[in-house]
Amino acid sequence: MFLLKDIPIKKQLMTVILFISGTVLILTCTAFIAYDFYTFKKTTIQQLSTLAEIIASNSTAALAFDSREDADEILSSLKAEKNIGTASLYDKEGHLFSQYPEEATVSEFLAMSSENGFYFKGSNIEGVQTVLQGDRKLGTLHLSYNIRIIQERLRSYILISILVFLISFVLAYQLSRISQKSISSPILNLANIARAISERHDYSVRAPLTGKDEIGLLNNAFNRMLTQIQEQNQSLLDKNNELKKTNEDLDSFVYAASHDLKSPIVNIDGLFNLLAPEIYSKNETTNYLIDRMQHSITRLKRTITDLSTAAKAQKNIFDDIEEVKFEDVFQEVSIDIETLINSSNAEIKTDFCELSTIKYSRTAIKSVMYNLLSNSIKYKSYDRPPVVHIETGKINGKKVLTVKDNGLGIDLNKDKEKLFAIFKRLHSHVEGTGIGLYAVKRIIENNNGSIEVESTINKGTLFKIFFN
Amino acid sequence: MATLKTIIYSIALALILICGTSLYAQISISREYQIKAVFLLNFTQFIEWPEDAFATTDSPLVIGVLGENPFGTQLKETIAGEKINGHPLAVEYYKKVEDINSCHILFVSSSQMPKFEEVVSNLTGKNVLIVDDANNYMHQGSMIKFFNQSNKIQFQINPDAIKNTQLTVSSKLLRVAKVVKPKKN
Repeated sequence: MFLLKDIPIKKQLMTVILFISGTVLILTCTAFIAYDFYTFKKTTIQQLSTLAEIIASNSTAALAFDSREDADEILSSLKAEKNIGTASLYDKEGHLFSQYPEEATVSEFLAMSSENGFYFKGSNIEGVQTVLQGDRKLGTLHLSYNIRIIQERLRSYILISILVFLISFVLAYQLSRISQKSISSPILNLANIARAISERHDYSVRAPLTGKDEIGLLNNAFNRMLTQIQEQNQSLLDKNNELKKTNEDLDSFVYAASHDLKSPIVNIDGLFNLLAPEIYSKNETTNYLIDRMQHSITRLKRTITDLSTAAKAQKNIFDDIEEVKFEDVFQEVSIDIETLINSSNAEIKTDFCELSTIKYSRTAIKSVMYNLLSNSIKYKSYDRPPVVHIETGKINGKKVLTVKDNGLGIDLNKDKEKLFAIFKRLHSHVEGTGIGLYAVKRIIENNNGSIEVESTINKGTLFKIFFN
Repeated sequence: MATLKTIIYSIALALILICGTSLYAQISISREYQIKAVFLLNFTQFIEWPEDAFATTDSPLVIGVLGENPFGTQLKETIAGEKINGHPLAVEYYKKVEDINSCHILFVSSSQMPKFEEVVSNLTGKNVLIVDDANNYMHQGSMIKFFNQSNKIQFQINPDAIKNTQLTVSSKLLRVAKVVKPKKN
């Protein structure tokens, strides 16, 4: 039966039903044939004995008055019974008196020891019947009956049995096809519902209520489970929506804050730049303080810009989408971080031949390149000057930007999660806002792209930006 | 020499043939009555006598032979020790019609055939089966008549004649006999 477990339940049920009905049919047919064969044999012997008695009784006068013609006539009446092989009548001394059919070869003399009765002998039933008139023995009748008819009957019975078996089997097949439905269809129904749910995640469907049997129980349990899942799902969705809304509010807040902070900061920067020459070189302390302020204002501007970009990315509200040249963006970024490049002796190699432009937000591309390039230089190796390769191209039909450095490298096993998280920093020996890579990830993913990172500690890191 | 031998052989062969034939003829006659004796015995099995034909349940069934006895001892030998339904068989010989005692079968030999009419009238109404082997008496009251056809003993039955004797004849006996049709009136 374990062979059944991989086939549909419909077929399992039908196989079981057909197996049982087939076995019962075979047993019944066999018993029927055996019983009939046995009875038929018995009846045949009985009929033969009766026939012999009749023939014997009829041939008494023929034997008594030596009338072979009469004996021949009596025996020839046996031709009505076509399965009589031979019939021979012997007188009381055991000499052949008459025989049937006339051309048969039968023994000329019958041993007188034979008792009345008929038995199976080879392919015949044979036996003798004493011819008696009153209590006087006049002779003996010997009959041989061909059992061909029994074999024929057996053959026809087997044939009928096979026919009955086939018809019954077909009937059983049809009936089982109909009757198995009452069991299999609720199960199949349930299976279909389960499949539909797992495919479409629609937890609102319900199994139909059936009877109070195990399948009904199963349906009820299934429905209760669905209700629970639906409720849990709903509460998750609600929570998710709440969180989304909170996130949106936060994004709006960050965006608004960064936007509103931008102009005062720019004002401060401008005013400070006007103020600085006025108070410069009065004394050493003043100059030091001016430099520190200048530095802080720059950092503040950077943070505000990053936050603004990240917020924009999150809300996906870039309004400067155009055909952007990578070379142009690179030049702008290079100017922005000139100090950093010069102070670290960084060597930057670019290759934008394969893909020189992309239709994207200029601000977004700039932010991506700025963050990746500045990171590559900031997190340089302690032993060697940074070498950064910036390239564009296509991998599997996707536009890609790669930034490869020879810096500190990242332990991805440990820090992959932190890498793109907001306000998380893996190193503290250099300055940073903790927003950069978060902003990059937001920009790329909100535009249906993806980021891959490969890194080896102390060898370098490779960022692959797939745009879409 | 050769001729003499041939003649002797020829004579011997002729003698054997002649003797053989006459011997066969003799055996044939004795065999004829042997068979008739057996038939008489067998008639008792296919014919039923009414109960009052016997004095007691074990009184004998008598076969009478009227006139010259053609059976010799054969009939007596044939029936010796035989019993039919508890009745032992017996033979009685009657010289003349007047000698006829109570019997169940009466065989009328050819010597008494001229007196056949008297025999029949004497036995009318009695349970006696009258058997003979002479021609032309079938319509005078003969019930069974032996005759010889193609070297075989056969018999005729006259059911009409038997009807008056209250004897019951088995249909099986009628099967093997030639049945005489009733005389046209």
